[in-house]
Amino acid sequence: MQTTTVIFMVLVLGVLWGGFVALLAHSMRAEKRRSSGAGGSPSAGGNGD
Amino acid sequence: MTKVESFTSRWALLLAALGMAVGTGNIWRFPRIVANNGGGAFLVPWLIFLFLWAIPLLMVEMAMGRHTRKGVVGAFGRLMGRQATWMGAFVGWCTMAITFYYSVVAGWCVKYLVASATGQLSGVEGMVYWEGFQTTVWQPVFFHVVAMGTCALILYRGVVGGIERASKILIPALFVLMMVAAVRALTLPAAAGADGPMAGVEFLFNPNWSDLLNYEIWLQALTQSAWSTGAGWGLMVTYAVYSHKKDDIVGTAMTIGLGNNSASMLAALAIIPTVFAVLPLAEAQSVLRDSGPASTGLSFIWVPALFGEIPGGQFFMTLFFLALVVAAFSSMIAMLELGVRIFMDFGMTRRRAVTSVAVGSVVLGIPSAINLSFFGNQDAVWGIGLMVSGLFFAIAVGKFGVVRFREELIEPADNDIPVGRWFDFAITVLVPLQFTVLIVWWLYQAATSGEAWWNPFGVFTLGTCLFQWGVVLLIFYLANNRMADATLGDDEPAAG
Repeated sequence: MQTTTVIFMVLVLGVLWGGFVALLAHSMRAEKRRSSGAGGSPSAGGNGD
Repeated sequence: MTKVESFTSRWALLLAALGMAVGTGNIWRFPRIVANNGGGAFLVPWLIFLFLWAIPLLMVEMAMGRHTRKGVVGAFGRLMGRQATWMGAFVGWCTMAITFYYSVVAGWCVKYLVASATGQLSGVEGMVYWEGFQTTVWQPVFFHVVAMGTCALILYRGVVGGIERASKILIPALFVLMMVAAVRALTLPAAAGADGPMAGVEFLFNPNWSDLLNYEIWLQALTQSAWSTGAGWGLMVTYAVYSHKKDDIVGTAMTIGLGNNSASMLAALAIIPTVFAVLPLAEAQSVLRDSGPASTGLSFIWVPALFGEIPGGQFFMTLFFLALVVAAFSSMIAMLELGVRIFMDFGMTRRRAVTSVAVGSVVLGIPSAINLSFFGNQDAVWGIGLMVSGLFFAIAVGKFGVVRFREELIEPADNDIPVGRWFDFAITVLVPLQFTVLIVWWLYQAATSGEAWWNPFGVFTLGTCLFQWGVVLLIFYLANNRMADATLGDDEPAAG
């Protein structure tokens, strides 16, 4: 495979997969903080109807 | 007032929204489009438009749904004033009209999943099997009903018991399936005369920079971005109704956008290397370009043939169609919920709303199940109509006041990534500009498709787009006050 192809592939996949995984991990940490945080936020989920 | 349901966590909202975004288009359309448009170079505008079209619109939708706590019809009415309810109705109709034939596609995926798992696809010629399936007529209708019924059963169980629970299983499963398929594709041995899977990777990622001077590549990239993430469909409005007040809008929109595009890349890595592992170069390129009837060429005609040539082919073909089914169902759940939410806003119970939407969608999807020309017509008319939907969202924000929208509806959320003034520019300038370019280009395609451009009953003509949009817009415009009364009641509009 050509060098430019490899570099380009790493860049594209890095932005996409790297960004996606980083945001997911961040969401998980934020969720843990929220559920164990001050006052414990009310997890209000429910089927209202 | 009936208490509005809600997801139990931000994580649940994210999974459901990812399911909304990742659909059959990621798996069967993206690989074909990227292969037809220069491979590597296409990825550049495709990524750019993720940030210039999809993510800003997802942010708008999430803010609208969370602020108004109404489905798309009521959201427009509450945000812009009762007189604008018809705009939300058009957005909702575009998506529902797509749902009618999307269910047909989901049915095809179920059929092929069953066929691959039971060995029916082994050794058969792809086009022969496809035509045999389609010409029975009853089979496409039957599987369309199966797909719709399965999604309806999930929706009967509500937001937490249905949508959230299904999403927590379907979405991780989908990503695992696609990763397994991609790893398998990349490790395939090259068949005699073929160049091997790495030739497919080269084909996918080799950036021929001069291709970026071709305007068509930019238009195809914008179209794929507009259609693939679900931005501007009203789906994120619907799910945002069930979100928590402080849920991160910016981070959620970016996660959905990047997740959707990540899934597309996984699918491309599963399919394109497989093609190059099995077929000689010229034939591989030809297969990737052949869209087939109703864009079925790669998925339903070539995949059975290709997977028949690889070790463990039946198993991996079954995995492929299972991934398609999972992707289709996770998106269909969101699309049907859009209609359910609207009907619930009108005062129906969930049970009645789901039954009405499901039965209506089955009936209105039957013409697409039995006639592929009609299917193609609906795909064109409402697919292009989605671009009008995107513009309507930009207009809604403009009417409310874009700075006010950002400061009052987006910034108060617990956004881990701050939203800057780039958002104002994206919504007021870039989205309308992109819409204008897209709509002109696609209507030009329709006008020069080879059929009489004015024909309102053509498969892909300017006339059929304008005729069908016109009828729908007129009906909703005339019914505006009734819809506003039904969905808003005596609410004061939060007009700009």
